[in-house]
Amino acid sequence: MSDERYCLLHVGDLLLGVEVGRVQEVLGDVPVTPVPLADPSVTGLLNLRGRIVTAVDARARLGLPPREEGQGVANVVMTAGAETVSLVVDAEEDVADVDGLNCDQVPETVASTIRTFVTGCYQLDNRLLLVLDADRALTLTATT
Amino acid sequence: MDSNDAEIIELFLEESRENLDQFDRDLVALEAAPADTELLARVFRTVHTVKGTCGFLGFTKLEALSHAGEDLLGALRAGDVALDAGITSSLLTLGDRIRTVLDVVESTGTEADDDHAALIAELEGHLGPQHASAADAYPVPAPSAPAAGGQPPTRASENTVRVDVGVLDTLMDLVGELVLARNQIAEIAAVDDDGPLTLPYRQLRLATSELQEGVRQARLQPIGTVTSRFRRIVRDLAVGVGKQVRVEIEGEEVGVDKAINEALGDPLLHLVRNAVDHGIEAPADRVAAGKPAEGTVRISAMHSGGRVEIQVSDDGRGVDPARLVDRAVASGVLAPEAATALSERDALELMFHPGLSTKEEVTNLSGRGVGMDVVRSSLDQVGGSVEVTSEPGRGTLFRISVPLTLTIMPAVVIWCGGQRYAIPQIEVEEVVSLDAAQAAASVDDVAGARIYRLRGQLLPLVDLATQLGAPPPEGDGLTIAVVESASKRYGLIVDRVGDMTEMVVKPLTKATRGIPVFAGVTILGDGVPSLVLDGAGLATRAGITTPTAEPTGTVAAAGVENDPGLLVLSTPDGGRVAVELGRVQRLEHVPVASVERVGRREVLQYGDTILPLLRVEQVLSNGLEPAPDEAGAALPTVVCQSSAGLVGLVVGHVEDIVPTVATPIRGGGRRGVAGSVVVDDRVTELLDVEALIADLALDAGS
Repeated sequence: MSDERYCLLHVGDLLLGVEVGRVQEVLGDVPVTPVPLADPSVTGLLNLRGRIVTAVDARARLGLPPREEGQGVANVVMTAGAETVSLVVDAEEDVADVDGLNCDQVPETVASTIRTFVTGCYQLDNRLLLVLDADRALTLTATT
Repeated sequence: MDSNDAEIIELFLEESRENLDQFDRDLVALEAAPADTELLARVFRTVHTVKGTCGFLGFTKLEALSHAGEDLLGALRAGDVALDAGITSSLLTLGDRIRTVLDVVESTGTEADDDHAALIAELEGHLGPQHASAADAYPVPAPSAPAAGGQPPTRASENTVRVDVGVLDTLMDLVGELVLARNQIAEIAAVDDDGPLTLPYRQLRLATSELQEGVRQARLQPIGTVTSRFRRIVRDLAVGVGKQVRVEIEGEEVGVDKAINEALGDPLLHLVRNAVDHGIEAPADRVAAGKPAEGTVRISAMHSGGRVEIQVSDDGRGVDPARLVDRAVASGVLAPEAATALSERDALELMFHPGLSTKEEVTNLSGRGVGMDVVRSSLDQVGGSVEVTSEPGRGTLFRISVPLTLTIMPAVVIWCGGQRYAIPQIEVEEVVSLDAAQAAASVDDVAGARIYRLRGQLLPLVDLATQLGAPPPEGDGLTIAVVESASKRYGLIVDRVGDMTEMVVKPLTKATRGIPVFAGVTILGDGVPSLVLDGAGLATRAGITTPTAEPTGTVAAAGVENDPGLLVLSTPDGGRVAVELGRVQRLEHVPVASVERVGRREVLQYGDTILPLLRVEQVLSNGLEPAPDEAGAALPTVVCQSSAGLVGLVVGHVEDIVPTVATPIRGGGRRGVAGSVVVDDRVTELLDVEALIADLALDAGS
């Protein structure tokens, strides 16, 4: 059931979907502590009720240009393995129900940097919803 | 097996394991005092109870084994057989075997298929031919009666529960959050002194403090869980090498964090093994040297200034510094010309050098490639340290110091590139601020490497901003934190140094784990995460790879070793004072709202005690009323230890930690001031905490 409902996330011009069940909570633009020398897509660490959460920038992960100065963000907190990770997106929208829709393959013309992190897509009314492979997007190998 | 049986088995396992730990200790003690009938009765009872319960549960093979043990113990009790090392060893093996079977029972629910024939034969062999099977001839001591009757054993303690450490960690996290929320509420409550929030806030404050302390306590384990097993280990080692060694263990009740306890195990094992193997001489040699044939290994633990000190000592042959030096020179660790200048203490320190200890250990020490350098580095990892003193012919003493808990440690907050970072305070020796002229005079540039001359020593400088890729600090001056970590000593250039704080170090997240310059992450008082710097990792990244040897015999080095230093404070009106760091317990920011007045005195509810507060500025100005506090402000307070208990010194700002470089100039003349010292070219008054307390008591009495 939960597979049928997606949390809609705006990243650049893209509309991404994450299974509703995966999303623990959505925070606004909370302060993060940058981590020098870390993977460039790590925007920093944030404190979620005493738990240290890595914030991973969706734009950087997908190879999109960085956000403009002062542009707001949303932190979509999800579990990834034993840890809690936040996916930093431009904005978070409602929940969409894709019950009865077909999951299409992502056309090969879509940039491979994006395709790597997308498992399929749904045709909503006048938009295309890309289903995000959250596990892959949130799994960063430790820098050495 | 029904659930009732499962429960009985669980009780059996728990009780038997507890009894077996005692069994080991008693046996070793019994060897020293064979006439102690009480010890013997207890040892007998343990085995008897195991036998009885096994019969009840149908573990026939274990029953047969413990039966053989019981026979032997019965013969000992009756005086038919005299206890010797062979019998003790067999009985200890019996204990080990029972433990092994218990582990099997725990994982499979039934005993293993082993019939223990060899061990049974060994146990029976001690009896001699006339005692074929005489178990029934020996009456059972009273306390084990229920088990003997086939009843399930009673639980050793009805008042304890086992809790997963993860649960305690989560509780600790939540308490941290609660403290942050409480601090925010404190500010709201402070706006209106008699407002509706005042009373509930006080209750919240008290409950939070007690909860915090309770959770901290819950993580503590007696250090005996690690040290007590050395009774058995030393005994086995000594028998193995044909020596007579007595063990003395003290302070087993001292509580330390579970993580520290775990980290102590291997280093202690190594030191104890060394003591038996190399320290204690063979009995004949000892007698020839005029010492008792039996050597002594002593392990003692005690609390000492917010840390735990563990001493491992032996009365053996001691370590010959000259031999260490010879070995160091032979293996190329030490230049021959440097060897002659080495003090005895520095020579002993050589044993911790990685290039030196490992090689010989591998050949001499049952093939285990663990050297003294590993002892030091594994203690380093938990913020601990180890020092050695030795007297040839008289023995060796190792002093280990570890923090009480790994999770909470004092830290220095530093700034770099607009971000805060925390460094464990134990790694920061002192902080030096240089203005442009001083920097030009004392910092040299040697082909791109900057070196600072600190009281005649050369200190390599590491620029934190460069290492982290941050913008360089502004201004011409330099702020240098002198860092010593994993024997590497260097000056860390930072933008500025902030407050001291207590931090709870958490592990880094998966994505940030591999970065060598960070040791973890902590949440600062305002709720924002801050990275914890790894002093050793930073040094390595900056290219400092070899341990920096302390120069021998200099005043500065000696001062740093023996003297924790001075905490330099500024008063709200701009004066500078210092207190001995050894007295300082904590630094607190006390919300003005939580200060209460009792007569003329100001006090603070602090944990479950009342902490008297002293305004340093008022003391120094001979009682002049200080400027009123701003509502909602927090008073920086240094909590000091004195002979009359704790006292809180309200100060303006914590400036610096410096080593005591000179004896204070006595005769300040004023009450509460012990004298003056010169710190960073400025006269700083050293507070006399004892005198301040005495005045306070007089004040209260009048």
